[in-house]
Amino acid sequence: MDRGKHHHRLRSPSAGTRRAARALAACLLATAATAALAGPGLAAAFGNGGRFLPVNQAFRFELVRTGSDTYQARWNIAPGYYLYRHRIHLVLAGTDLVRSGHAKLPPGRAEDDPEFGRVRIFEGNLTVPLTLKRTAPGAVLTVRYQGCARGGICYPPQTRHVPLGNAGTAVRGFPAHGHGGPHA
Amino acid sequence: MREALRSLLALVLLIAAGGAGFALYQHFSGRSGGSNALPSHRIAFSMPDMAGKTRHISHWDGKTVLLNFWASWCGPCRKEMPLLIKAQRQYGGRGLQVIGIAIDTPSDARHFARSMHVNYPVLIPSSQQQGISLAARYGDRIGGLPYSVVYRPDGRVVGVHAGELHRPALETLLHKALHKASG
Repeated sequence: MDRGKHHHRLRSPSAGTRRAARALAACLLATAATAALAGPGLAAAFGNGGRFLPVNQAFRFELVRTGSDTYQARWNIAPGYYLYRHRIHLVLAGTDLVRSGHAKLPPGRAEDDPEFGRVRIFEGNLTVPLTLKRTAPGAVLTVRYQGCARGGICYPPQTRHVPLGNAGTAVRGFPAHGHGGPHA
Repeated sequence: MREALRSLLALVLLIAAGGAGFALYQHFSGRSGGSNALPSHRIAFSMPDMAGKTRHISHWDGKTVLLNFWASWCGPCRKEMPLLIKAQRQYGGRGLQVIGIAIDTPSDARHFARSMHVNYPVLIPSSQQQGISLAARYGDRIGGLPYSVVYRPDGRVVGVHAGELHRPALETLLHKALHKASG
């Protein structure tokens, strides 16, 4: 009998509880309504404020050593973001590996950009295999890339200096993910 | 009597909630871009213009200023530029001054601005980092372009916008600034 009463209490809150809940809901509604009616600022702040990712999250980069003299430059590009193919540069000892043909970028996807005409872009995952033979001790790979968000912003060109001998660590400032950072 | 007290209490609570909502609005008002602590007033800085002459931002004090951070390599920046040119033409007589800040090489910035017949001053930071730092101080926490800031003739910042400006957002920003400026 007591248990039945207890269940009844759980299923049906008292009139006081219902009133309190109604009052709380009314307060929340009033807060939201006043904020929304006060002007576009708040709605805009919440609607746009977190709209774009920081560049390190939009384009996650890592250099991974896959063999004694082979590496992979990898980008994980967040959905809704893209990198321009022609703005990717991998420079070692003053030589642009892409331009010199030592690094081969995938073709990417052709797109008609209203401002730049026909461009090629990368979305999703991008992997660029590199063969770097007879590198000098302490050699540093300079990686440059630039991209945008579909939502209407572009990020300034990014430059990362990656010491090839930096064994077992991801590029500074980038969260390690996927297969981890370069290793010896 | 008890009912009357309850009603009074409910009314007080509703007023308090409304006040909280208004305080929230006041806190966030005008921040339409992802922002850190948005400065309440314009930030002092000097930069060379396209002719290489160093200009201090105080030169435009007394105007309603729209600072537009842009670059020639930025598609959305290029796309919104005609809108800014039109705004300068349309609202210049009411005290609006658009000022471009190019996060770009001087030659690329000059070349593109001239090709667009930009009708407002363009300042070119001595380094990309200087321009990005200034935008960050204005609340551009992700360093994305374009980024626009509007402040009143007294220097009070009324709004920012991250990303490409479209007419409705621009009108809202300018209305707020120009209305307050004349009010």
